[in-house]
Amino acid sequence: MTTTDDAIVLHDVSKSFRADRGLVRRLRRAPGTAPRAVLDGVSLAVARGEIFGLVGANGAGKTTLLKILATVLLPDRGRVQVDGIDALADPARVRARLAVVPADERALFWRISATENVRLFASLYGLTGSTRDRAVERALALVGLAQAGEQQVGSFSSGMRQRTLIARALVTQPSLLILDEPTRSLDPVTARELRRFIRDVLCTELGTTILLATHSTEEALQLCDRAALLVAGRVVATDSLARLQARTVGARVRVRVDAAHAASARTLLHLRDADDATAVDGQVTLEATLPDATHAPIVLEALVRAGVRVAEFAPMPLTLADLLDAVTPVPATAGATADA
Amino acid sequence: MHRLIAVARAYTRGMLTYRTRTIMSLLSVLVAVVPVYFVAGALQPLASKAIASESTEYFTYLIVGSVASFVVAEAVSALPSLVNSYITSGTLEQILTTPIRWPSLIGGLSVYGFLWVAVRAMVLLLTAWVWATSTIAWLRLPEFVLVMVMLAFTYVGCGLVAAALVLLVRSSLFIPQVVGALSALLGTVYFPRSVLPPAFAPFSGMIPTTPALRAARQVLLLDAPFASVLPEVLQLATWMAASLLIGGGCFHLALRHARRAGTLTQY
Repeated sequence: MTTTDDAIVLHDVSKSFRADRGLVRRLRRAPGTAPRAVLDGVSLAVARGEIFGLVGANGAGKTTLLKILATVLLPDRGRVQVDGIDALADPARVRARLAVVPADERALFWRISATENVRLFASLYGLTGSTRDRAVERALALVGLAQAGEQQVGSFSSGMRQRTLIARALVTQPSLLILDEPTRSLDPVTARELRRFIRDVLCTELGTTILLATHSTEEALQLCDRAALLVAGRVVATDSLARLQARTVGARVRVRVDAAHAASARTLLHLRDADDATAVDGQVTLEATLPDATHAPIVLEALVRAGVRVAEFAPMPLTLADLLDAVTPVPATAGATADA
Repeated sequence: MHRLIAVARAYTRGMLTYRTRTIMSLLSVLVAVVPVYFVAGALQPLASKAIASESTEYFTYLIVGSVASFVVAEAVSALPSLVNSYITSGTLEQILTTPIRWPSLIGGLSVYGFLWVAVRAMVLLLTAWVWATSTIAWLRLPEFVLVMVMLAFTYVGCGLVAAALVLLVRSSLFIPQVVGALSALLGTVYFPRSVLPPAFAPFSGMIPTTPALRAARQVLLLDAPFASVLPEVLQLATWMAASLLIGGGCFHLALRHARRAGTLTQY
């Protein structure tokens, strides 16, 4: 279902690539050059001001989809609209409205400063003179690089380069920001800071619509209002990840109890005898799936009432593998190949 | 235009950080002139008659030919090489997500290379001015520059075709090397058309370097009025228009194909 408030509308988008692009193999029409479907009938809509996630394993088609939106890749079939503009018919207008933060930091000019990198992109988007200079300063300040702006990008850490890429994208205050695995090369602390920045500054403060590709469910849960789960080029589910989890995987909990009470605990947790049990120092750790997180206190209370000595009762983070296992009949890795 | 300038500025600032390479490149130009000076001096008695319509001294004849070879090499080779490295780094795709048009991008990326050619060419011409016995008509420098710019645009068309091939099949299929070699062998860069074997001489007229160098040498080395070289300039202008049209068309189509095939980025 799409509305006029949608910043992005994709309808039945498909894309396939030839596996081998070597000239000699092409001329010889060698076997192994059959097209490989990377996207297969993808339809989705992203509302204005929303953080929307594209979640999937490597090779699921996330980057391909982002490239189609960024107008650097043409789909074989389907319709792509950005802010109501047909991206296939009028790519120049679409380019003026969106900015892309690629996964690869090599896309920066490494021999010049961060300021020069951001300034270049500001100029490419048509900013000139003092307006451009102020925008560059503001963008660098937003990502915390105001002091390091004059340093060569080649001397930066991965995190600083990632922030330079974000500053470069933000310099024109685009209405739509495309982020391809933005925390891929960041340490946990910097990644957390960046996620906070995306949520609080970009989305809440600036009202930017964000499309984020990630294979981290933790990231998607923290950031995204909704997400589409991509498996082998197909959208298998679209919802908020919390609802998706409740609907498919349920809430996973880790329960550590005395070995003497393991049988009672298993019965209450509806586990078979050998399910996920590990015994250490007279205690057994069980992993159970509840219908959703609201059931956790009820189950804990039931365990305590039954006289089970509970040493630990903790929620387990949702993993992409769990999610993919739950929503697809085939193993999660079946469709995974190198990211296109 | 400001997008072209922005790309040129960023690329130039990056290239200027290679200080040692820049200095070594200039030194190599100066060092290379020394054997040219002595070899040209030794061959002067043999060459003087054959080059008379373009120069009175073989050394200056070779210097102007070398300037043209710098221009041709830059125009044909730099673009495919840059496109190749930007495909590998993802920079090409990133820049194409912005509202820039490809002629501005290509123009911006080419500015530094041609400025550097101009610097090396000036070093060569100044060396010739100091060492040569004949004079150089400095007042004719603007006309000489105009001819060299036209020559550059003519070969940029070949560079665009080579870059288009890089977009299509990740190889320029030796176009820069073949064009450079043909230009050097048949284009009167190092020797006049009259010394070519009779079987090859007619092909010399089909190489854009031939009319370009005839015009360039006549204005700069013989102080000939620009009107006297107009036929060569018009011939070069025709080459330039055809080359840019074909090269531009090829690159445009290759870019469209790359957007379809997903070859704007490959590792």
